[in-house]
Amino acid sequence: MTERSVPWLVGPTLAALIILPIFVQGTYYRFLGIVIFIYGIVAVGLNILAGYAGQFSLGHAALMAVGAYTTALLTKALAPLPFFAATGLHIWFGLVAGTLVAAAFGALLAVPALRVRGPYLAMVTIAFGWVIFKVLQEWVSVTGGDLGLSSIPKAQLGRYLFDTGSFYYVVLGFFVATLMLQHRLVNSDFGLRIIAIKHSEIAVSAVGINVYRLKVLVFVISAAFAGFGGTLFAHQQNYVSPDNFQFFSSVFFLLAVLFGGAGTLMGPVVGAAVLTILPEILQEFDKFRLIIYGCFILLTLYFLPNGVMGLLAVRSIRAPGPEKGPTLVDATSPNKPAKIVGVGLQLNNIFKSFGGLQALRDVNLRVEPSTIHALIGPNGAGKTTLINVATGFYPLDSGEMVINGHTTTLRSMHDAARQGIVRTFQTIKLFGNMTVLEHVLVGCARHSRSGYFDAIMGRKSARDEAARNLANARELISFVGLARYENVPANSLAYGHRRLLEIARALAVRPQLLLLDEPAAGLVAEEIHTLGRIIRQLKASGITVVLVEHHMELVISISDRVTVLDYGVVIADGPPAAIQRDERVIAAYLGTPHAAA
Amino acid sequence: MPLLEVEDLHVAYGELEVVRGLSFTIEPGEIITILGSNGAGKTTTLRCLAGLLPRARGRIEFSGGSIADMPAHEIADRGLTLVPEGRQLFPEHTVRENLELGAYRYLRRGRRAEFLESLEEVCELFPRVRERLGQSAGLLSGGEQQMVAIGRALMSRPRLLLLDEPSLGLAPIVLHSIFDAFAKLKARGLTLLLVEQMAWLALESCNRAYVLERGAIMLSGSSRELKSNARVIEAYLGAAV
Repeated sequence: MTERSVPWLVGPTLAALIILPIFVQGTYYRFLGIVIFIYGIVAVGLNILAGYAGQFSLGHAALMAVGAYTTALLTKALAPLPFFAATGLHIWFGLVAGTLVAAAFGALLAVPALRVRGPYLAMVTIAFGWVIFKVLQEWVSVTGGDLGLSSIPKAQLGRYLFDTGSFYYVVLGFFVATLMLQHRLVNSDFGLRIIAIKHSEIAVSAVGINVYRLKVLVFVISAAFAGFGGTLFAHQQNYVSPDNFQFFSSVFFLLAVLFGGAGTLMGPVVGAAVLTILPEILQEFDKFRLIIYGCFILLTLYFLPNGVMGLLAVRSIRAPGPEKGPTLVDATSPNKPAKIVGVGLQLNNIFKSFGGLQALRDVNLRVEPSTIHALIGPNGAGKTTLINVATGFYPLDSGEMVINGHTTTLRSMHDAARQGIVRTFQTIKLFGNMTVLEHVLVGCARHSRSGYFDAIMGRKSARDEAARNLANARELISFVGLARYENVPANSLAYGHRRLLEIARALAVRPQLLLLDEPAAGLVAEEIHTLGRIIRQLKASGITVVLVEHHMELVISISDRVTVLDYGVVIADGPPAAIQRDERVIAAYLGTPHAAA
Repeated sequence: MPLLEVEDLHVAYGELEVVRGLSFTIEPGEIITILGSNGAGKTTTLRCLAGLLPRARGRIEFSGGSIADMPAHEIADRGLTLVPEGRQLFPEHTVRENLELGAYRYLRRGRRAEFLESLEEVCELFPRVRERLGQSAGLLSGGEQQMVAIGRALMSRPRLLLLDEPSLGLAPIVLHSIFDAFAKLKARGLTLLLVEQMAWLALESCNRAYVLERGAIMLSGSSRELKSNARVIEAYLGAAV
């Protein structure tokens, strides 16, 4: 997600920020600049968390406080030592320590807090902020209580002490570095994954990513930004007190993100700048100041619900590429996945109930490796529940799951995906306005060997990997016949195409067992024909396919074996021809044969 | 005079024009089917007619007046109601509450008698719905949910009912009861516009059909004509695989 109109503004703006202060008398504007940069750094951290990953925190001022107090205490203790007085290293230790301690506090908060979502997460972070605030107030011997800590050493390099004038350039440098880091982060696999989490945690889990761990990681990164902002704040003000880090400051940061444009690169900066400068301009309105301030924010958010930068970042919906004839896949297509060892699945005596509803009763299913096994039955018979059980989404009440001869317990969907068991969803779960290509890349990311750090540093190994993933994703997209929609946001795809996209995303995980939940729903005959060929080709490449489907012609023509469920019980199991003639299946599911072909 | 007349309709998402110069008419009392592959613009057309998407240009006349650019609730008031793709019931609410919400526009003006009359009609049409009135809609089977979704649309007492993929995700055995209902509705004088991928079923139950490709009508005719058209057989009727 890039704001295309922005990059050419960056150069001139940066030049102005460097050159203009030289011609301005006094320190007021430089001071204001420092404040904006520091708030900008914290807001960028919150933007990664709230704007990109969709996890809202109202405790960032407290994390900033952790950074500020850490460096204050550390540098005050070290400053008198001759070594540090001569080198100024204590300041730089303080910046690092404050950042790390804030990150550690972030982890401490995130590990329990991220078990909950949405408003609950926000509540937990508010409580965290409150606790920190109270500790700062009450632990007088360490924090100085309400009076806070004063005479925090000024920033220093060698024997040179920074004043506001020169510290401005230090903070500007850190600020620019922060923005570059944000840019790298959100444009890496990591960025794709966290944006995907905002749209569907379940679908992210289904491609083999541990959602909880990723969310904790995002929170820790975000906390580090806040802590770092806090350390700069401490050395700028030379004084910190609990009042600097009240609940309202946390609200301020979230407001800055929303006002500027959540999930945009420059949004938090614009937000922090406007919300910092505005009260200064409004000084002369005296007691009306806050009212005007509030109304201004209200009106902006009313007219620009996506924030200021959100207006620029609106993804223009690009027309699909040229039509590539019929999008049928040639059986000799070079796009077919490399040889895969299909997984055999056996479910023995499975029971699963929800409250009083017995969804699966003593179900036995035996899926041979590299075959197509259909699962049919009336609506509500338990087919999707069976898929949920087989992919670790629901735990079993009782029964046994055997994968390739080994009894296995799947703890989660990402656990299943890591064992080669991947699914699609009956109720389509895509990542909002992310493009078709980005969807498949999220799936590919599962197999990336290079870590997030390599990507952020722009290492060659990471770039090569990204290029490989891109090529692989494009192959899979054309394999399912969506090549011309590569750059179209998923939420503007037609219904049936969304289903095909789910298949492409699942294939990116390189499944050995693929469970398709009603892939033909919403497709017309010709498209179902194509789908049949796609599924057959998957089988030919070695993948075991479990197919839940109502479209009987498709089921009959491609399945090796069919299992019929009704009211959570297997009522028939056998080759398709026998199932078609089974009296019980006709009564429960097929009905009297229609004029259909 | 046609009940619905669409002329040179264009609908776009940003730069992506999905419906490009669509023209068709529906006479009162007809069942019309629109066939088309994915991405042809079927759902987009229905959503635009129901006022859920703005048109880029074109004319939409419903029973003698333009409904283009009218907000969705006013279009529903005039008697054009959409049964959306994927049913979209309120799962936590009971079936009866879902049906009441369909009647919201006149029920809040206290027209209780009309509500009860419509409720009775829906229950007559779908006896299963009557049995389930007190249950949460989310706990119904797919077929029952589709019946409730159609019922909810009928509660607004429409003259033209738009149905987007009513067969989606339904087991073969329940399809017929859904499609049988369309014939009964027609007999009651209702007009239906059906977007459906189960082309056989759709062509069995309609009078005329249009084939939509790349946002415009490629072919039209009586259902009998279309059933024997080579292109239709290949793309929409042909046996799968």
